Amino acid sequence: MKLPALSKIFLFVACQLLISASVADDFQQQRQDMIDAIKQSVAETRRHLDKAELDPRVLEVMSKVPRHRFVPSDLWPEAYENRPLPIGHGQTISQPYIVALMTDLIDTQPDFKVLEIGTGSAYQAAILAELVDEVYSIEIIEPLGKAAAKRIAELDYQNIHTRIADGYFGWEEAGPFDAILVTAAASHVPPPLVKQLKKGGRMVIPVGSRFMTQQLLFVEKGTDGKVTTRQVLPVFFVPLTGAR
Amino acid sequence: MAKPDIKLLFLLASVFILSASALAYEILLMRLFAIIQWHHFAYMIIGLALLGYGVSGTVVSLFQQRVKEHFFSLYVGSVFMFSVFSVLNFQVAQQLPFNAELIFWDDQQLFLLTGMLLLLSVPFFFAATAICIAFMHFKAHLTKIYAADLIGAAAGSLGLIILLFFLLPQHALITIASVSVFAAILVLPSAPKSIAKKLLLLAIPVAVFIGYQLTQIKLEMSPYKSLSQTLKIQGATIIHQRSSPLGLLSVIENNSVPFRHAPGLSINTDQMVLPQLALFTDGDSHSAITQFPDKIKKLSYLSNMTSALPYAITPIDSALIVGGAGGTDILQALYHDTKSIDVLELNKQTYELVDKVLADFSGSPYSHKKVNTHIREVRDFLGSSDKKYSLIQISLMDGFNASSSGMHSLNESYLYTIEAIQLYLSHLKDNGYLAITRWINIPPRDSLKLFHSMVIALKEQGFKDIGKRIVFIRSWQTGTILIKNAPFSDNELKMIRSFNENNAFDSAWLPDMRAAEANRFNMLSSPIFYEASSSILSDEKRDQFIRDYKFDLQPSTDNKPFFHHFFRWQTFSELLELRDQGGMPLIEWGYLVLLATLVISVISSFVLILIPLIFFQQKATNGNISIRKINVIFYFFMVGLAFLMIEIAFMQKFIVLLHHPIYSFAATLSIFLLFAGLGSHVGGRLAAAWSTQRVFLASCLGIALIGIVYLWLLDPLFEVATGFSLPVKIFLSIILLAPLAFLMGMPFPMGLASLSQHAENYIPWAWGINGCASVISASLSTILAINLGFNAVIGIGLALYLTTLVFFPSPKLAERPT
Repeated sequence: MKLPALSKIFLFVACQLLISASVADDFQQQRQDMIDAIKQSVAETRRHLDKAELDPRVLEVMSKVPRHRFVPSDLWPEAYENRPLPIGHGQTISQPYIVALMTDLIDTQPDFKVLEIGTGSAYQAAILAELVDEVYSIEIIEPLGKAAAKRIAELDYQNIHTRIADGYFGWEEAGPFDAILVTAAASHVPPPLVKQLKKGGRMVIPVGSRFMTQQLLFVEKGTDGKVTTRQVLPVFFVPLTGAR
Repeated sequence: MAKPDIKLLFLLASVFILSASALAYEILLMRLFAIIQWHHFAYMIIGLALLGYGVSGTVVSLFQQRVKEHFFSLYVGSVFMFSVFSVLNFQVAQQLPFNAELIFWDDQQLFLLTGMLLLLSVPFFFAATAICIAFMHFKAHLTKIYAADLIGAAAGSLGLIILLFFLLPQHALITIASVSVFAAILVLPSAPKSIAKKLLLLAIPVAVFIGYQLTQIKLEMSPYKSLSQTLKIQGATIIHQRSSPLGLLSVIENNSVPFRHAPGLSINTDQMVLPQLALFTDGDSHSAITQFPDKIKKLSYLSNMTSALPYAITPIDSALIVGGAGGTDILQALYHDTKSIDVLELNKQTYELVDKVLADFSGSPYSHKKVNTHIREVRDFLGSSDKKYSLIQISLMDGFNASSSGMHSLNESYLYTIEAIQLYLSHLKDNGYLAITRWINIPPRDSLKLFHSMVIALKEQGFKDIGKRIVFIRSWQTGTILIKNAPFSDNELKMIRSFNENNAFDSAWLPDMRAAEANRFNMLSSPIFYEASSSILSDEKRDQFIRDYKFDLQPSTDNKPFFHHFFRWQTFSELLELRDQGGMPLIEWGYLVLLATLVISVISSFVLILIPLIFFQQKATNGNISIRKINVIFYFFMVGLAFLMIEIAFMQKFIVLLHHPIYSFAATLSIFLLFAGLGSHVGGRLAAAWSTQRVFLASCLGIALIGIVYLWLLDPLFEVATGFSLPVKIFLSIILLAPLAFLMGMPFPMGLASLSQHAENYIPWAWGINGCASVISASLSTILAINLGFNAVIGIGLALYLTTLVFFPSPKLAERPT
């Protein structure tokens, strides 16, 4: 049976739409599964985190942001698994559970101005962009920074500002910040970042290797300017037997 | 005795070269993988690749007739294959995107791991096959061939260590492949001319391939190693590189994005870190070379680290700094106006790079007028010195990644054993401090193990009021523990509190500490450091606390020097359940990888040993077998286990005498193999006069006797020899190890010689069994040493030798022909 050319085009477009819709549905379902996995992990570590659940706004945002767009296309099938993924240049996109915890720890408010050191894939920046007023993100590896900027533009995140620079000095002209997320490793907490943190502000730094976050370092600048740190294990683990 | 069809001397020379190349290759792989990867899986890959030896025995067993018919082609072909695949397969293996940290998330990683393992086992398979068929073809000269094999291995181990001082590891790989080609060429004149010509032609593409690789080879470092990450940053370039058996040193400069390495820097400081060059060892273990400032006060940020605590308490007039860390610890001492500083640097190349090559930048801190630098290991140095210090400083001897990932969990460290701490204490002035700084891990592990070790060391010195002689402070990143031979005074405690307050450091233990003082600046969910320190100091609570803690905090000793081992089974199962909730990083992978290596090698060996057994059952109908198969299995298996157990354990014991990790490794291994080779040769001659069984019996009893005497004798003897010079110590090592190794070289060839007389078709099988046992023994010895100590490993090795008395493969014990 021969179909007219227009019918063929129509059929092709219809098929594409159908595929896109089913893939979109599929990603939506995967995102929801990812949120369920995060909720379950949080529930199991609640005693340790001093809270039964994370800020619902964080989870809501994470259920919307298309994580697969932030990883190489060959990793799309694993994009919503609760695990870190390589994004090239020796960098990773963090485990969703860790992203959720870190975002929750800085207690975002809609009027916040947040600095991120280490843009990476820009997934964390995208999550923040949905929750706060302005996000300033610095990447030191040029190809990563360029790719992230392009991705941000494609996804139309207009409140994310990026630059390729040394994150050690922060973004002085845009500071001070309500919160700072340092997603790149540092041998110490850079003094300029402490300076650019507002009084009452919070900084979170994951400590450990690219694929395994050992602990979250939580730096708090009190209203009196006094700085303290808190180390949070992302897992409910008590080092003495019988204490579990 | 049948006359050999090629000159025996050439064959022995060939086996010597091949064996030297194979052992050098094995050791070199460890070096190469330390650079390109950084995980325990490297240990597993190389450990299991040695199963190539077991596979060779099985394969040759199955194709004995063909092997006999084509000896020259197979021998020369195997050697050439070793030459080619030693380079080619390493090149392919390093291209595989294996990432150990993804192994429990990504199934593909297991395939990559298996792929690497199979690739690297190929060269060992060919090397072992060549030696195995040499045994078969020259069965009348088994003891000589085994002697050449062992002496070659001795030369290979020593030769590689020397080679690594002059060549980059990748070029050493090409050198080994090139040298191994001569093992093939040496036997060609003895081959029939028609075959020799063809084989000689084969040498041309092999030589061309190796020559081409020389121009192409470069190391593909994992993109997740610190050096790879640093080089991704714009402006970063390697300006100097040095290589030795102690590591590949890389100095990185970046004028666009300067380095600022200051681990443990107080969160309160607003001082800027001075310009630095980054110094990496094997692409990791990041340290910094700091620009020497025009004014010393610009180094003031070095006083805002936990390691600066002793300088904050009192002026230090004499300090011993263990490991210069690229000069940072020296600068810290100079900033605090220390009058006399002795620095111990293990790697001469670090000293030369920092002090000579980069003198304009670094200001040559090792040669400062107040500094005396010694290229020595600390226990070696202190053992031959009477000098006493106000401060002995040991800071962050390994990188954070290595420390936090438990990378060293299989490594021995004699730096933090109870015996070492007591030695440091004996070199302190009356009011001097021993200060050790370690990374802080959460939940606490190594800092608490160190605290425990220090408490036990003080206790064994006879002190009662130990809690008054120890102080422990921490930042979020580093912890420093101070001990003294005298109690801390009120004034000292006041200075410590003031230092902590200024820098936002927490007290984990102070002699007069109240619970409310803990956990103030760097808060944890509970004051675990204080609680743990209090429990460890309490005679009533200590044992219970150590028993209940989920990581192994037992102090390390010279007999069990595994400071970095924290593994406990109960913790593993709990953390595995929590792997999706962040439990994965807390799992101690080193011990698990070791166990997995053992289990895989046992299963593989079982299969490899059984395959020929099925074949032999069919052959047995020929009625030409007169030795029990069970005897062959047990004898060669036990000899293989015992040889390596005793070799490994004594090598470790001699580190306590020789101290330097590379010299002691090279010296003891080559002495062992050399004298075992001589033992094999002499054993062959003795067997001609007595019998193989008598020589075996005498050697086993001799090994047991010497081993038992050494278990009692060595420790006190090494204490007496502490102050001897290195040449005298090496001479003493030769005197002590030679007789033991000499006798240990006999049981294996005596067993083979017996087989050659009564069941020659078992020879390749026995070779394979022995190879499998050696692979198992390497991981089993380490597991036994971690749990029971090296003395126990020696005891078990000796017991195994004695057990072989029952299983010697002689027809007397089996179906002796009537």
